[in-house]
Amino acid sequence: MFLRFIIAILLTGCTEHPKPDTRQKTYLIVGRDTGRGESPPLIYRVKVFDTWKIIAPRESIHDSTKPLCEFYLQEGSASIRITVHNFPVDSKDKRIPPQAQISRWKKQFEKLDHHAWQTKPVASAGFEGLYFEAEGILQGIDTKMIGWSMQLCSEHYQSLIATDFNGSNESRQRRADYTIKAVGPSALVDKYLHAIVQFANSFELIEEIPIHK
Amino acid sequence: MKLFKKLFTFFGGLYFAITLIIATALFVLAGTLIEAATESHLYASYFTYGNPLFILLIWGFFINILLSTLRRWPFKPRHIPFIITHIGLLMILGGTLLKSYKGIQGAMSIMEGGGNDEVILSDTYALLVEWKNPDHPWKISKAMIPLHDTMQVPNTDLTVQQIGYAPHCREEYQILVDGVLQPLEKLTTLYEHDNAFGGYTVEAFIPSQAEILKEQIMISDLKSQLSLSPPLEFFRQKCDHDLFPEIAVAFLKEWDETNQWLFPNRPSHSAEGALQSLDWNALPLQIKNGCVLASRLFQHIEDGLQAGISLHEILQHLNFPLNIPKEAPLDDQLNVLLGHLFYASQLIPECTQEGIYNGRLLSAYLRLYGIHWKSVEMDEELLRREYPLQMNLIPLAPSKKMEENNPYVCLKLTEPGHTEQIRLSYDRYGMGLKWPALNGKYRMRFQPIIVKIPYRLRLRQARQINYPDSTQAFSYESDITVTSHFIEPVETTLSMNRVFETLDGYRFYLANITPTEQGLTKRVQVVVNYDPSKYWLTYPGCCLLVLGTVLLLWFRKKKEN
Repeated sequence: MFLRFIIAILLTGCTEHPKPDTRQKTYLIVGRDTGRGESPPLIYRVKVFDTWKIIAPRESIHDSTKPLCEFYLQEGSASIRITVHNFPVDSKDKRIPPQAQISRWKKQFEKLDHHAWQTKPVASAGFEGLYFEAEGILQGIDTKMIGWSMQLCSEHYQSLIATDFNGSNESRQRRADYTIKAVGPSALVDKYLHAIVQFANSFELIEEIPIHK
Repeated sequence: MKLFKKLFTFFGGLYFAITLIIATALFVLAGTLIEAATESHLYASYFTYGNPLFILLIWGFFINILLSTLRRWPFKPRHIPFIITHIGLLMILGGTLLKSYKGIQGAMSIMEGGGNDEVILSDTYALLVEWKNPDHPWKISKAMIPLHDTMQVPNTDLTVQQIGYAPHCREEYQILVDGVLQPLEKLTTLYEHDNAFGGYTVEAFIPSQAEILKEQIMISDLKSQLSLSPPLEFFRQKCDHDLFPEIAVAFLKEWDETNQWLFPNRPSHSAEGALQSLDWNALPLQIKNGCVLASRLFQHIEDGLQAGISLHEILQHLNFPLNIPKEAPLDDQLNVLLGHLFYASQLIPECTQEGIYNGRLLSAYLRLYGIHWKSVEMDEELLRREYPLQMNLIPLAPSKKMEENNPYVCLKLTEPGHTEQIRLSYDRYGMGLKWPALNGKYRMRFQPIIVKIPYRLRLRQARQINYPDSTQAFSYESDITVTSHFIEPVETTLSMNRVFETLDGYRFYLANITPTEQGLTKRVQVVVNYDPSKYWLTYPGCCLLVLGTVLLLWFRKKKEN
């Protein structure tokens, strides 16, 4: 009895490491090509749930209006479409402010009440920007849109500039702003909101950003 | 042999054990009292737990327990619980000793998006020396040398000698302006030259009017003579090239001190030599006439204004034919009047400057271009220039709380043919500026020892979790990826009560997240603790100790039965 008690006490102190969510897999996202026939570099990685459908681009995505990739969450006839864009530019002052992206997204609604949208500042993986959530009428359907408009923070931007000796497309892509936008029927987006936020929070550059020491 | 036996008996005996226990109790007591008196854990640790004598005590316990066990030789079955208990104790003490020599206790700083595999060993002192590879200047070699009285930097001819030390100091940034050091209140801009081997410069505005004006004249690209305004260029031609800014500033200052709109009709104390040689006939007739007309007319105007008469009344009295706006400030009215005079001066025959001093004529010419002492105040932003940055270290009385002290060292650097002295303050986080030495051949920083560990932590996101509907922090979390050569990448979340531990004894704790504001990229401090013997000495030792104690009780019970 006494031995059992001692063993029980010894085992009480044991901890278990959190196990990674096996329902997710890491998906690597290619950047934009230069339009000169070169193969685009792998830039981002993100955790995607197994049940999500992934559509990678089959043609050139040099044009920044085309998404880097699309993800679909299908449930019956309804679906949520998640698109990832990035916007490589040559200098910091040419970047599009997150607020401007959000203004553009708001205009995509046919009807959007003033109280039906909100933004909040967010930061993740070295990027800073805004989270956007809105509910309105889009193509005649009650739709919810959630999005992230992110820019690399100044310190990281400078670090990447300082280590880009050749002016490579890869480095330019890594410095680019990115947006993640999820659009779908309100009820469905609400249902999968946590999963979409988890997806957006897992988005990061594949290569670590060098830190100036 | 007798002595050996005596020593064996003493060191394995009860008296030695009691001595050790009393000494340890005194150490603990002293540590508690010191910490209570100074509120400094570091101070207490320095004199007690972190003191080499305390390690000696642990060695004493180890020897005592080892010898007391060996004294039971030859072992009998009834000794088994006793031996197991003592082996357990020896393993725990061995683990403690091994940790004190080979363990790591430090912190690492990681920024979201970045990673780190270097641990700062807090409250250790080292000198970081970096130098450029002579064949490949873009390759930087470095050496981190624990601070000693004399240090030889490996792979170089550099010898560093510590010639001074202050336990606490205040850092003050200074800028070098014309060879004179001036304090800099705030470091707002910083330019690194040649990767800091060439030092640093800062943008600063020199708050001295003489300096401002001199700067303005220099900004006018004096040397290239491209954009210096005509009156200054006219003046410059009669001055010594290098002395011109000084003379021009002295003249403008003297003029300003007279409180006259134009320089009074008298010789200048500061610039008469240069003024006397001005050749007015070299100027276009319109300018010469304008200067003469203005000098004469403004004599009446200045006298009238001093007598309290308005400009319009004076001009009416003088039958001045042109209109001057009444509503404008007096200074603007005078400028308009001056403009009219210079315009009209092209229509009249040549005037003679007889009876007018050159200083007054020049002041009219300068006024035409809006140049006077006070005009320069408006261009503060344009006058910001880069100045070399230096750090001044002011020794202060050390605080009892050692954690608050910021020491500095004075070092003598010697290389064949070169010697230099440099003062460096302690950079607690090893993230600050590296200072150039020996004409930019080296850059240095006085900082804690930094060690590389076999694990790299990459931070994706750090966040503060608040209580619902409040800004009060409930918890802090950070998502990290741990990579290493010998394990698959592990993704985990560190939080206040969740640490990450590796099988070879590394533990990672989340200590701090800054800044706390949403939407800004976070930097986290992760405390790293490495105990190399935890899993094969300390923990098994604890188990043996428990087992031995249980068996001791069981044997005794059996014996009683």
